Amino acid sequence: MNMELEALRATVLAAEVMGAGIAMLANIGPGLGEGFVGAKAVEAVGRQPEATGVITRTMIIGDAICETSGIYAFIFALMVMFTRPFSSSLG
Amino acid sequence: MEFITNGEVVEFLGEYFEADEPVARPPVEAAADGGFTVDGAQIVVPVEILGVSSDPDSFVSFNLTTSVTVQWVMLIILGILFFILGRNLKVKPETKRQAAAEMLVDFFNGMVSDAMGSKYIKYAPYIAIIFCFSMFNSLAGLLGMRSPTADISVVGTWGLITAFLVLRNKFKTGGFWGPLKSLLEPVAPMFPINLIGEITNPLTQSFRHFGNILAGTIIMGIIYWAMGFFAIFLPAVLSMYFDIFGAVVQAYIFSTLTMVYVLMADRSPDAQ
Repeated sequence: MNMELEALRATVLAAEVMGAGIAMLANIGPGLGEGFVGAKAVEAVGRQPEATGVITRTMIIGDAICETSGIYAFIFALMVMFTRPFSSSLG
Repeated sequence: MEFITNGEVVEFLGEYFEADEPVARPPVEAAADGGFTVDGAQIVVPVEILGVSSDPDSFVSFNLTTSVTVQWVMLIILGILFFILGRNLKVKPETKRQAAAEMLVDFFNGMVSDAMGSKYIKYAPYIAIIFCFSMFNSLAGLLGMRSPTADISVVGTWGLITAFLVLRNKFKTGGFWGPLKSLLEPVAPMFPINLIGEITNPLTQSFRHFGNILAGTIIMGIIYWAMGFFAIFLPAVLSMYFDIFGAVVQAYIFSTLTMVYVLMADRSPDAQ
């Protein structure tokens, strides 16, 4: 067993898993953003209850657009977690 | 602070690893004895055609995966459903079946004419089928199948269809130079940014759908795996959000964004 390689792989593995976790920090942004969207939608419904349907539809679209960066971070984290591009290249 | 070189790290870690002890391995390998892994679509039938190998690691392969077969199942279900709904229609609705069919058609007609105006009402069948097909494919996870929409090659194809529809609408409303002119707006130096925007629109659309459904699949998988034998009540409640709500909302968002992108591509003078 190649000790050095195993230890190096363990180090790279730890860095990879931490990197995936740090990437998920990007989800703070979409969380805040969707919160704002929801708050404004509630305000709008309170002001104009008859337009609830249109407001809800627009809100869902806005949420979806907000989510994009969070989804990118999630996909990146998944790629790092489950394909392990760096530690698997060490053999 | 001194920079730690690789050698020092190895030396430092070396104290903790005895030579005979198993060193920490990626959980992907440990998964064989009960761990949790995330797999892509499994290959059902390996296909070798046109000289392309069936190796899943190669860049291009035409293997028959679970994504394709589950889509076939969903196509058959949708086909039977729509065939039954559309049979024996009367001018005055007599059956509940026809009332349901009319409600469905009205819903999609209203959705398209609300978002795009009556000029684009001929997009209603496409929007309806992309909505239903996306929803049924995402809901396949409830039946224990792997959702085809949790596979980027499926949703990416739908994103490509959107890109083609956008291009077609630009040609149709702006003439032969319509697509090129739209890239040079408002001023010519904006060309690279417009080009990037044009490429990322279908990309983000498909990635959003893919990411959401995959996230739901993984979270539900983790819950089932973690609860094991005791998975009784909680998974059902969480499945309401992660599977059903996610599937419906993502289908709605995907079709709405398709309509928005096609509408934004309108180059005729009376648009907007």
